Amino acid sequence: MSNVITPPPLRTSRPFLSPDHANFDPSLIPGPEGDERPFAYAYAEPWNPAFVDGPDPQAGYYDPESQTWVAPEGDITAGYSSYTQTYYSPPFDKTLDDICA
Amino acid sequence: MAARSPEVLILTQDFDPTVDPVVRSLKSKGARVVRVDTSYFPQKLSFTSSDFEGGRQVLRHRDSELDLSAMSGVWYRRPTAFEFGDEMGESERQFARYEALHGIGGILRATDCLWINRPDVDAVADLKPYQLAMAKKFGMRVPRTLLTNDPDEVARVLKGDEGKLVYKSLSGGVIHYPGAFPSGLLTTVVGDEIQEHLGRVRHTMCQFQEYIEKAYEVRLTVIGNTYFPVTIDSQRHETTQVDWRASQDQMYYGDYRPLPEQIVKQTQELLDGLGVVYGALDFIVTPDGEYVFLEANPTGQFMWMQNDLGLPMSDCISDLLMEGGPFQRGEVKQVGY
Repeated sequence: MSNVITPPPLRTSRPFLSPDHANFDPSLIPGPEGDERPFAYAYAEPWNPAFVDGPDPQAGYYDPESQTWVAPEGDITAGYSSYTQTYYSPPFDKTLDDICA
Repeated sequence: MAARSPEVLILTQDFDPTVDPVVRSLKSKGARVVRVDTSYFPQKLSFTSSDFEGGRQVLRHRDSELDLSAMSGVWYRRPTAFEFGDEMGESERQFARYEALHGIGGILRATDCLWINRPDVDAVADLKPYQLAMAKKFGMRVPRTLLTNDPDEVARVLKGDEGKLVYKSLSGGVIHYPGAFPSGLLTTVVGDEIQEHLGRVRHTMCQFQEYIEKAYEVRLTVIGNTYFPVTIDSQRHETTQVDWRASQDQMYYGDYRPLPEQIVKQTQELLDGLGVVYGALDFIVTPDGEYVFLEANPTGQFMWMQNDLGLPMSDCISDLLMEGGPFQRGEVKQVGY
């Protein structure tokens, strides 16, 4: 219990990435090769770098009164097929954490 | 005297689109909701447990005060790390963090309301090898699995006539690179290329499983005693045949198929064994109609199915949180779409 009250935050979907990620340096992503890297790295693929030029991934703000996130255009939906609309011009992002966590 | 409204505590980060509809549902049903992130502690959030002056256990945030001994439910979602003031150095912050973990953890553990799910239970229930062992114990079929950091063990299985093998991470499908986008790590059928990577097995634990032919898959969301089995028609498209999370364009939902009684019974036993009230479970259904348990996600997401299929999951969560505890496992109700 003492070490599990605050687990790592969600970090898998674009909305949860810090703004720093919007201007990331592609060279920071290690390639799959390299014997010093765990086995899993050989089978991993970088995620959606095409999204980096998109709009603000965390448009809106947390409203402490309603205790919900206030988005610029209505409530956030979190569908897979309909995509998670956390910012408001296509292409919509897709929260992979919604299905793999 | 008017009955007191149920009081619900939600622990999560500010941006959590899964929680927002539940907050709205709780309020519409007349519950009092206090939603906080543990990152508010200690600067914007306080906990007190006192035996003095008659005794009290309270959480205070902004102008809210919540009596922790009178809550009906706690939803432990995705709270984030405590944020201590800049006035402390790293070693002081580390000390403060451990004190907070013990203090807050102890105060919350002492509550006897309904938890979805208790963090200590979550932490154990999330251990995939333990889930597989428990599932086997209750008679479920699970994929034959090799867990090892010994490359020779993997080589031995590859030399045997064991059919196709998949590699699947234990901690989720993400490799995070600070300062850059993460990489996705889906369940993958390994081929001849594995020979050149075998040495890398030594770096950490690796999970390999037999590949099981599928007719379709099921994502089962369990909220208390309510089951939402959703059929994923993963074999419809090549990209989703091994791992349906690989879907790029849309999810291929299949028709609603209620779970067989035996699977419901075994799932109840498994969840009871793991001690969780909520879980998102993945099954393969073989062409022969056999259910194969893959894994349980004690904090698995569900809003994508509510949004796509119109399942009343938010209301189900809020009903459970308002019902109070401790949770009693009972007769299962399956909800279709």
